[in-house]
Amino acid sequence: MKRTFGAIAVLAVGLFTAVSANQDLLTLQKDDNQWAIPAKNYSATRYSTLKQITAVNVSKLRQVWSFSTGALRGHEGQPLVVGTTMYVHSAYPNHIYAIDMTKEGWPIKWKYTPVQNDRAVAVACCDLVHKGVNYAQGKIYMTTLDGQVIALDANTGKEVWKVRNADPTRGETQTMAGLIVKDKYIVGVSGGEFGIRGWIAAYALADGKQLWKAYSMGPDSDVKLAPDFNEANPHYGRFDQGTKTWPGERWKNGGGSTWGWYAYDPDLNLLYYSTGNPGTWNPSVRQGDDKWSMTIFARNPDTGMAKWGYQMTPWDAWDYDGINEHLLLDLNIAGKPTKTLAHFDRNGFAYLLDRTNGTLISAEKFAPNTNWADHIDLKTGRPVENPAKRTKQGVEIKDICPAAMGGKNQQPASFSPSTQLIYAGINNLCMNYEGVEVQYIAGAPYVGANVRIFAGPGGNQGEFIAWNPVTAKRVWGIKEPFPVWTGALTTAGDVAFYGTMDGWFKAVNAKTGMPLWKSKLPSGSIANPITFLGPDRKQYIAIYSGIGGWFGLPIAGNLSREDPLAALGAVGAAYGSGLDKVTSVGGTLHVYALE
Amino acid sequence: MTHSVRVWAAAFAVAYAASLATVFTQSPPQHAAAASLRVCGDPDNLPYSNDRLQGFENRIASVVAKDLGVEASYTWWPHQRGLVKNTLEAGTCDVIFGIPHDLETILPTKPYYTSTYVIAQRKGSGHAITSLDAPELKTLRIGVYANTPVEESLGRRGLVDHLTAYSLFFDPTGDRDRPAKLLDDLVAGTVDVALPWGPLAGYYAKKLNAPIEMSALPSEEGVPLTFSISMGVKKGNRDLKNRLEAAIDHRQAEIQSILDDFGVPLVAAKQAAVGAVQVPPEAPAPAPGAKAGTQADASSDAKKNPFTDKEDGIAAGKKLYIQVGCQGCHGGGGGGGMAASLIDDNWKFGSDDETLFKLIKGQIPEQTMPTVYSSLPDEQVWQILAFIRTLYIGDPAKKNW
Repeated sequence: MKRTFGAIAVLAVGLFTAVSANQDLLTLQKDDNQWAIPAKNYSATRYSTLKQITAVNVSKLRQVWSFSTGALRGHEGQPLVVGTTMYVHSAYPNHIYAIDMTKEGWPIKWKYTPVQNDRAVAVACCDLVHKGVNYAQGKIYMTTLDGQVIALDANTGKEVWKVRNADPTRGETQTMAGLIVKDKYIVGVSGGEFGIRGWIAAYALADGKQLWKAYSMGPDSDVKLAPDFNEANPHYGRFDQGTKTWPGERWKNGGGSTWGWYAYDPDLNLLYYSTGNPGTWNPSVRQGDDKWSMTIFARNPDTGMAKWGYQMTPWDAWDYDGINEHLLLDLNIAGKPTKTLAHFDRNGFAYLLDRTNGTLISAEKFAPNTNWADHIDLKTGRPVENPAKRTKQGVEIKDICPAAMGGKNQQPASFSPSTQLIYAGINNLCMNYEGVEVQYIAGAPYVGANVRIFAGPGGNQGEFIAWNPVTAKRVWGIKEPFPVWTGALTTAGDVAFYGTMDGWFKAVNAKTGMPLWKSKLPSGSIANPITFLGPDRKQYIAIYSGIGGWFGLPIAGNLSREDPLAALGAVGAAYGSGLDKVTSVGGTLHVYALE
Repeated sequence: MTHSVRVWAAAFAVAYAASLATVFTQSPPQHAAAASLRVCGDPDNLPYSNDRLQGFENRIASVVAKDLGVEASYTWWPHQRGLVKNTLEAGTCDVIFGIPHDLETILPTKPYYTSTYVIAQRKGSGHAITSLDAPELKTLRIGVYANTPVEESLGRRGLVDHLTAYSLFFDPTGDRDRPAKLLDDLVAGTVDVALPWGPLAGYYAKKLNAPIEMSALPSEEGVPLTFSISMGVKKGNRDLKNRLEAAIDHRQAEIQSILDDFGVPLVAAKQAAVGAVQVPPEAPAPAPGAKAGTQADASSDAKKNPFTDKEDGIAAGKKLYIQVGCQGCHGGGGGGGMAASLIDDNWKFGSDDETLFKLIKGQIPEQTMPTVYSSLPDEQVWQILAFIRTLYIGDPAKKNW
């Protein structure tokens, strides 16, 4: 009798889960033999329990397979591994390959290249990157630079449907991977440098129908605020802020793009992402908080309605584009199990929030030279600024840290439940910044600042750090000559992996930071390492090389070195650091295994 | 008919051309919801508009309405005499699509396209007329619409005897197919050459696959043959005008693609607001279906930048370079980024003044640079170019400006 009840209970739970979440994906992401969603799991920890490769044997890692993607711009993101197939993507023109790992040499099962409007190329701010594809229920879901959302048959590569999410003639592009939640593919938009009004939107997996769209600013009905929005933290702002915190109708070109990484908590049924910089970069013309730019949002993925929103950088004056990833961690805070969200922002602060309602737990500088603000007031949630570093139109404010590229850029961090630490590649970059007057013309750049970017104190431009989210303190750091723009990967073998712009792929001891292994790549890497079990039951590690992104654009775009302001300040930064002396363009996927 | 009246009539004829009316029944004015764009539409006037929303102006109206965040709703009234009085002035609707920019009885938006009269011929007719000065015209039958400006052009050349005039307007007592008849007759060989308003001929050639080829007719002294087309609102309704103009800006690409779909031959807008700088007039772009090279020779004088090396122009250009956004893509010092570097000697389409002028104006079909600066005054384009020239650090021997 008891047994019967047990079976019924299990069945009931199973049914409930099936209707409440995409069972396929929930199962796949728990299987560490595969890497089925971009950040490994909905909590975005990029951690795998695989442990054939350990801190002891990682020195025997060798490249066993490599594959040219056919594109030579910056390669962000990661492949997916579902079953015995690997799905590889490239920078623009966004080739997609299905690789059959059951056959010798891992041949190509199919290749797909979307037909795109090449005018999108001219309005993509920071190289022609792409952060990867999604898988669900036998289909591959992807975005294209020119604004399309496409579903492909995962077996054949044939188009199932395609719809338009963004319009490049208005400066709207797409580089994000997006995320699949239940029966929806959720995507955002890039174009904060073109005066767009950012949004995220949900498309039906079945047919591409748009189910909801939530803007980053504007009337509450556009921003989709739930009636209880920010009830727990009314001081964050509640209603009408999306228009009233802007002069006049500036919110209409308010930026707040959404090109980063998304996370999801199935138990709370909340989707997490954050919005980018307000447009223009010139703060003098948009005095006010400019909500809800620079905001971490928690939304109900069924309806799009926001439960809470926390703005990190009110009245941005530094392009601290707040789109970085969120790690959903269940931690013990002051002796109490707490559902938290960890976010390393461009602005140099590592935020830890209660993800049920947005309440701030801590906010400390992970980028040690951060000087635009002294600290974050946990009571008000607002930064306590250093007035000398606030920028304005017509004056070049010097030596602001971090630079616009952030204390950390988009490259996603990893959390290891084994060490209870977060691992992240970060920047040590500072800047001079001058706001300049710019008119809004639809489809034309709307930047409005001249930025010079250079190494911060110490001279090294980057670092790979381990961070304790509970104590909000750094545990160790490895200085790197260039900004570290690969994501991190951690495994149960207590190894942490990352790559560098000068083309090293490295493994370190996750506990101590001790370097264990490195391998030279043909081009610098700005991609995210993954791990999986092959059909031969061997553990593999994979990462793309291919220099680019904002920092690497001068190399990827073959820009001349004479104008330090070019590429929104990247020319000065990249050539100033000698990046052109250590790497060249590429686009290759590298797979490693123990010899 | 005095000259000014004739021009007005011509312009009027352009906008309300070719009502291919069969039977017209007036719909009662529809009371549109407050949150709609209330269009005064012609119920039966393809290719422009009809009550089944099949015309290109219907499609443009939808795009514009979408940009304003509303739907288009229609009050139907034929685009003939009495239109403004019975629609805009009566308050039954708020905007008329497809009116000549200089019509005096309304407040026009800035133009959203410019087209031209064309020489249309049957494919394979062997005539290959590209100019009204072609001697063969004296031996051919030429079809025109009555009271359109091409009549004047033909009159000047003593070709009046070769004319067959067709009526443009709906005539309930006459041959109801008459407006379409000109092009039907051209295809049938009843006339050898037709001189219709371009969008009508383009529609026949592209949408109806009629065997017609055409080339643009350039304007002549005192006889304008190209017209810029606007939306018109009631005088004083500046708010709507401004919002429509913003929508024109936003939706330029979509409008262009609708016009392309209908085969509307587009030409550059007349150089009306050049300011102090004199530049040679634009040659019309070849009309769709025009023979290659038909118009290419019309602008053999390459344009030169009047501001090159001129301090005032460079200073103004430097300011504009930042203000209109060039700096965002091409770099604060011209070194590029999203877009190409402007300081080296690597130029995708050429480095001469005219090429770069056209590139900024969005007139190079293969360009990937956003075509958003077409309405930037020519003078400002030249000033920006004058500034860009000062950034050059390439081989001095390669300077061709």
